[in-house]
Amino acid sequence: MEIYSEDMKKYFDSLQREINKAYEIAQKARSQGKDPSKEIEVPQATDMAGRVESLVGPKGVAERIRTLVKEYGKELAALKIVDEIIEGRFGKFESKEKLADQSVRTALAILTEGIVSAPLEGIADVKIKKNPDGTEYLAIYYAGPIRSSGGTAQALSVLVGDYVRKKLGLDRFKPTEEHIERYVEEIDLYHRAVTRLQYHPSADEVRLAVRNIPIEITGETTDNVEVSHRNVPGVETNYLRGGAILVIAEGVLQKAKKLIKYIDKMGIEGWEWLKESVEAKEKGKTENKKEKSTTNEKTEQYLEETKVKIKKGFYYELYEKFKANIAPNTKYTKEIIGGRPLFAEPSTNGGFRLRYGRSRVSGFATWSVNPAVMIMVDEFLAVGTQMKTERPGKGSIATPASTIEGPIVKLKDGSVVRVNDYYKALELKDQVDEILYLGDALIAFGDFVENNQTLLPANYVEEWWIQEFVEAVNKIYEVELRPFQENNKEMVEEAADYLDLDPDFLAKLLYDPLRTKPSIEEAVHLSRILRIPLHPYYTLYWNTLTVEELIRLQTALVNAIIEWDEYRGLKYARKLEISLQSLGNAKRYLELLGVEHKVEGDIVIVEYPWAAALLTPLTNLEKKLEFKEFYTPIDLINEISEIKLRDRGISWIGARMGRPEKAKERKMKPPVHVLFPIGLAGGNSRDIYKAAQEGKTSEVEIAHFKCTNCGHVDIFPRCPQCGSDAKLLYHCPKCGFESILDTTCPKCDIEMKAYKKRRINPSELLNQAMKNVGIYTLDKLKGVMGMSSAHKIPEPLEKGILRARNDVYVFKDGTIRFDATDAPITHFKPKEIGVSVERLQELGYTHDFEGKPLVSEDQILELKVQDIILSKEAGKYLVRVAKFIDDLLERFYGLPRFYNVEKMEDLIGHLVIGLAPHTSAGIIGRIIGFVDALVGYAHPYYHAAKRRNCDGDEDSVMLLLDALLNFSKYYLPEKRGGKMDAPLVVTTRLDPREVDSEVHNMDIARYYPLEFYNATYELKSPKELTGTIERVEDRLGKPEMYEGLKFTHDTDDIALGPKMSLYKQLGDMVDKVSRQLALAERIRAVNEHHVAETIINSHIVPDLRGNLRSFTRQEFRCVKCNTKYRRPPLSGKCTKCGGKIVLTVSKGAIEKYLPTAKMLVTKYSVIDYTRQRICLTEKDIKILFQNVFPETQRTLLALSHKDICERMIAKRTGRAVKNNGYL
Amino acid sequence: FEEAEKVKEGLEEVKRAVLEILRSKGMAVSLKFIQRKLQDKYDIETIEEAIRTLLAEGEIFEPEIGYYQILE
Amino acid sequence: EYGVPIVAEEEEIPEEKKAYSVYDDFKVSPKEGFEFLAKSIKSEFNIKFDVRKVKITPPKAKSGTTKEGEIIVKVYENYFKSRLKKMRKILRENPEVSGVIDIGKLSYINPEGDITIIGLINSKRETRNGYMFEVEDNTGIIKVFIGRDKEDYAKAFEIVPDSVIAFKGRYSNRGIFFADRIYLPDVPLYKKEKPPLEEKVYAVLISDIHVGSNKFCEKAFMKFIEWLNGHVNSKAEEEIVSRIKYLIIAGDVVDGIGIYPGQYNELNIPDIFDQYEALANLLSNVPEHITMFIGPGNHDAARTALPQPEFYKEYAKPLYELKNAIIISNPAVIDLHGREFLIVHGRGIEDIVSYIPNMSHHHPVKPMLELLKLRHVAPTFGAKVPIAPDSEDLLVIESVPDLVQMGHVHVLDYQIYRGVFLINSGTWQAQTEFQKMVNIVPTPAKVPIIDVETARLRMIVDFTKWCDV
Ligand SMILES: [Fe+3]
Ligand SMILES: [Zn+2]
Ligand SMILES: [Zn+2]
Ligand SMILES: [Zn+2]
Repeated sequence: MEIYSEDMKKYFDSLQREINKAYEIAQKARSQGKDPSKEIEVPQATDMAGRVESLVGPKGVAERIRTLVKEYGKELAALKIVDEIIEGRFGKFESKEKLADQSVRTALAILTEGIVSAPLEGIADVKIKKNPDGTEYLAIYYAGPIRSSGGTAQALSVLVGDYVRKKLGLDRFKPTEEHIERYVEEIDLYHRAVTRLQYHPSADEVRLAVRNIPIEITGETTDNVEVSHRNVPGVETNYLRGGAILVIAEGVLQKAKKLIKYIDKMGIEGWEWLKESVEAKEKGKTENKKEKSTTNEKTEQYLEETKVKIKKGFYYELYEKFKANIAPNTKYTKEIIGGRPLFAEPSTNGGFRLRYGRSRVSGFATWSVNPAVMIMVDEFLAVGTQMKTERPGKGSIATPASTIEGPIVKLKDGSVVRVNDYYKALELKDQVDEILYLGDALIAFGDFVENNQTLLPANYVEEWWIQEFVEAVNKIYEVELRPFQENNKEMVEEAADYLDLDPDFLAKLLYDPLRTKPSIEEAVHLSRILRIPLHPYYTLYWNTLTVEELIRLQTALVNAIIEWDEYRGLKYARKLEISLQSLGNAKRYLELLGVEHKVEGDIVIVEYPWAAALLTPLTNLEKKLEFKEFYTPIDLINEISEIKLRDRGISWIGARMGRPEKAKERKMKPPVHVLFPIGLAGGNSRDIYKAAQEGKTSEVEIAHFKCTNCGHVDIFPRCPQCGSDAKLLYHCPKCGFESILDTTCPKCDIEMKAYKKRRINPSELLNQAMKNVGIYTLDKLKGVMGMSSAHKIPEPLEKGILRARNDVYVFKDGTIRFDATDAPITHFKPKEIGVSVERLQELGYTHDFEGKPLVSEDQILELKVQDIILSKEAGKYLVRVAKFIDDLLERFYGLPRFYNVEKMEDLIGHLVIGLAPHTSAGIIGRIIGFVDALVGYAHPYYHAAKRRNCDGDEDSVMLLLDALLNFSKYYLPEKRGGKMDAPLVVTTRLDPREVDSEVHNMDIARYYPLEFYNATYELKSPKELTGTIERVEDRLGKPEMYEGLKFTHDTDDIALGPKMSLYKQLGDMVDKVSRQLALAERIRAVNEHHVAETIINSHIVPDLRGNLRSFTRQEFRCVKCNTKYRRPPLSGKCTKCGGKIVLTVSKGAIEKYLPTAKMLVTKYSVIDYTRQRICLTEKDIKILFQNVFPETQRTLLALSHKDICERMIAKRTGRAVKNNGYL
Repeated sequence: FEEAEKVKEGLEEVKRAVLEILRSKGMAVSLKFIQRKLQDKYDIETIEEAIRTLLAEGEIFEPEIGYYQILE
Repeated sequence: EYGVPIVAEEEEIPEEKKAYSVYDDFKVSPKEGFEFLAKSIKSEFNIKFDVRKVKITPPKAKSGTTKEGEIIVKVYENYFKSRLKKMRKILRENPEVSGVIDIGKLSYINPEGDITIIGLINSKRETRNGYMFEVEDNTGIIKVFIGRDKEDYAKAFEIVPDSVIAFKGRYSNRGIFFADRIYLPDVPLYKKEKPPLEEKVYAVLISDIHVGSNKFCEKAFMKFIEWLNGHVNSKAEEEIVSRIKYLIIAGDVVDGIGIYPGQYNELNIPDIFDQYEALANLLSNVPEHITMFIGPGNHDAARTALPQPEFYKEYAKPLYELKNAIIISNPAVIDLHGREFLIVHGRGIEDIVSYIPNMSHHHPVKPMLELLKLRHVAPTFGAKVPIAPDSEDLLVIESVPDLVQMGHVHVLDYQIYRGVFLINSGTWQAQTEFQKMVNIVPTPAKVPIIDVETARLRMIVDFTKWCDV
């Protein structure tokens, strides 16, 4: 079956042509032998199978994987491959252990889509070991990076291991009691001392697992934490084995339920124990539930009985049900970091108003908010800023959507304004006194599915109203209209005739109901004659008030001066004026309703259309509202008013700021131009140029090459004497034997090294290199102190010279990276990304998303899956990178320039590799434009191909040709994890089926149907609605998976909003916290005292106490050579180099947050405990230095009476005296 | 007389038809819609007269100008 | 009638009303007719060592521009120099430690035959054939190797970083010192007999009361106070109680606040003032003829790093106001009738447990013994125990005590070593959630009674059954 349309095929073919071009050029360059390898070291892969073969092998496995996956599916195919490897289909292996090793890695790579580095780096070793009874068993040694494969794949790797074990005829692992207890301790210790485990199993669970898992899950030391079960036979380390711990706790045990499904699917025996344990657990749960549900039934019965007597309002009952079923989730508020504000408390009225939908730039763990919100929260939110959220997931980033509601604010003069417009927000921001309502958060249905979050009752919004409108027109007037599209003109005219509307207006309303609003008169008219709820725009937040407040408001309004008008014979209010005095408390009610009004002198004025929006539901004050128990304000109104209301504010969601957005070139610390060692000669900044200028020489460890022609030995892979190829020269560290063939010494039988200590002369080397590339001036050239790669092969200095000249920096693997926060985008407008219609047409964008030919910059286009839209910051940097590449081609390799770019627009159409941390497989992307925001916009599929979602992750791009020319495995650090974040393979064609499956839950509908909105009132599980709203999953395997995706909410501009979060512009902690609390005081949905308390407890106190503790246990260090000392040497000087010894934790570090803490406990009403903690900490710090700085102690202790701690002490100790006096 | 009788009978029929529409919708309906529904069988004036009569008889009312609804 | 405004009192009540009791209504008086022999025994105590009595002079800044950090580094450097000096003195008391040579002189003196070096342990590494140490004194650094075959090899296990050790052996030209013998500072094999006392007199040792914790065994502690007041169960106990003249409390007297994350939820009294108030209210019922010695621990409002001079007076004021209490530092040495009692809270135990094999929290006296042998309360810098920047090391056990009391690990345990009685005095706090998780089983409400004359255990009184929190 064909899975691409013609268009898509053309697109992929054009990408491939460009890829081939780059590979051809790079191959020409590399074949010159100036690099560690003559081959390009980034192999292409079209699919998962290809990636697996490239990453872990064995050779030839890709073809088989393709066949087997087609036949059996991914999981079973992994096992079949194991069979085939063990059967010798891919060649002989030198030992059973090697065979087992290969099998486990290949199978795990298949299960993790060949993207993450876990199969390479997460498994340190696979060994065959002996039980005490002499039988053999299989042991897998896990390392830290196993984390990157995720719990399920971790668990599966164990299953695969067991399968391999059986296949090789090995016995099971028989742990001793000591062994088992070691695991119990280790898991516990890890949880306490290292990081909290997502799942913390009980001791018995661990025992059960270790006793029954047929292979040994062990591993390397990951953390410098010792266990008390020491020297257990067969366990090589007395330190924590983080990889093994993760695999048992977050793998096998946490994912037990999922694992069982696979066990059944893959038909692996001997895992009944797990099934039983899960069943036992489930039973326990359901029994608990049963107990609960019986009590529920009882209360329901009770309610049933009372119902006979009491009638409850519709919304009253809905609120009751809501409260009973979905509790506020306070988890995200447990930690608040200084300078990163809380935007809304959990499920609190006035916080983020839940709006279901997906904009062009949201979904996939991204929320859209109105850009006015970003302004009103003091620009703490910018495009791409991460938020930690209450639900549906734990986090998201923020992107702009101008078609959803912004904040409602109260100004300093008492007026209330709805701010739905970015520019209006900018105008008003300095006048804001209170943020009554924060605004909408547009959250995709798909995110509810992904997180299995029960649907919260939908708030009343335009996209719901238009469907009720359309449905009513269809039912009453038998005209079938469709929302969100262009309707048949005659039908629109007919309907307009019946409804007494302007046909053009009706057409617009149907096509774009988010931007088109009826007048209040029309809204009331439509509500009356169609019996549909009042349009949401004119619906106020009635249920924010209590019933008593509503009645008081109505009573107060009787004193108002009202200007009445008429429309179609019906009375409505044009203007309302009332004095503050006669309004009294009811002024606050007007604010809480969110109704726009002005205050002039002591008169409150509500103007058109808000006077009518306020008075129409109050029956124009003709009928008096009477108090009713079990009724909400809306229930009360709906009972007496002809105009019915739906609640616009039931569901609220809380969030706080997480990480700020980011788009920045990657620089190592300190920054590096070239991976060339300079030792100590370069000083702190490792400047080779400086060392050369000063005529210094330096002794460094560096790879040696021997010329295959003349025998000259030097440090270059090509002979500087005769220009022939040179080969790595290995030498034996023991006997000095040298060889270009052997890597093991034939005499000593030990591993030989390709590097050797050598005294280099930077000046000589640099002069030659500068001459080679024809560069004669340089400011600086930053190298590295030493190399951490296995052979210590340096980069050619020429590359560094050209990088320095273009002001770009290199990463550990030889590539140049630009990092940015991942942001999703499925549709864009040409004008948003600064590209002309003509250029886009060349790039294959011929039609807009509704199928109309592309002619205008304002049309909305569907993004092709491998196209990316970069930050302008990235554009500026990549221009320099491209110039560097061109210089490199021209001056170093003697080839024609390739990019020829002058400005960032010239980069459009060029290819990049996108690559995420913890992965080793990149994906080809094509630059199609730039935005003025600090994010990397790309198709959600593209991010998923890198195993990212968009909840605040960041990753990098590099120019394709840069990676092909400059990446080398030989540069990678030898240490564990060194292969992560390196382009070991690149995927050329994106297949949505082979990306992170989270994106399969993304919804792609134009709008959510009525059925959905009704279901939210029943608090349904999102799973029940998966067929109702189309998601990516529904299209997998069909050409439609690539094209025709839709979104529900448009936005004026995908980069509209602040460019940079205020957080990044604030100075010290006092500054940060003050601004954060100023905002907290302003937001109605935030309790500033709670914020102050949480900042202290979650950020400031841990920092203060932590620094205090580490100060008194700190390491010391030599300023010169950086040697670390557990305690200062007695000589007072570095014993290695005689340098000065300094602290690693300064006194200032302990004290730095104290002023902030004192300010917080002084200004805000925190609990006594918190205040005492701060005061005690202050005292602890002072007393710690009593014998070092006695003079300053005295001045410090002379505190003023205004000091909060002094005051507290005076009060408490004074009272104690008084009490004693009384007693 | 017969003419008049016929006309009267015709009017009754239109009234029934109008009532039928209003009853089936159960809510206010636009005059234009009633006309469109009945225009094949009856002429506009008769329909309008039927509605006027129904209004006078208190069978229906006009909740909003141009919209008619059965009085329950 | 007395001019107390009623309104004001009414206003005060809701403010004063607390969700917890500070035991202000707990009142015990000595049992009527109970004869307290201790009343007629003359008090004979003397605080022989208290941190507050030592005057520590900070190093002089070389110039006005000397940075804070430089001074602190210098202070820590001096701290270890002071340790080395004190330990050398102790080691030299051992007749076997002779012919001591400075490390810096080894290479050019090139001595033949056995020599001795004394130094601070920088590091310790196990090799295939033995242990390799890096040892430092004021003059230099040297590698010291002791082979598996050496008779003193086992002592290598007891050496922890930053302890001061003497090695006897040969210096090789390859820059390595090959040790045959290892000398820990240790205490002498035999102790001098002390003159007998005219009358039996007893001291009660407790620690880790943790008042304020929701696991504080308040009922048991109250029973204990009643017991001290003569409300006893047997004739045997009567004799004992009657002769109790001293009560020593070795730290963690309250649970404190902010000591560990989430502590708030495990506190009955989440207020540091009230915790001390509560403790003072309880202790105010200790009969007046019993002298109390109270020192701080890591849970107390006191300096967080060792040594701890005292409680913060402004927070622990009620303790200072107790008539029959004497506040001591951690560590401190009390002379009772000519017997030296070394009182330490005991955080150093933690480091020993994590560094020396086969040590555990369950038997704290074993790590305590290691500390005694190393003659230091917390030898290792940079591990778990925080050490304050002081120019002098006040944590060295300079004189040989008759009794060592520690607490901190909440397990009652004791042992005699070379005439020194070592005891860990347990706790008054039942097992906490955290202890449950890491499988630490405390022994709450067991009270050791010490015969001052012999500095040995006279009996253990058990109030565990009242500890039912
Ligand atoms: Fe304690
Ligand atoms: Zn050559
Ligand atoms: Zn050799
Ligand atoms: Zn303690």
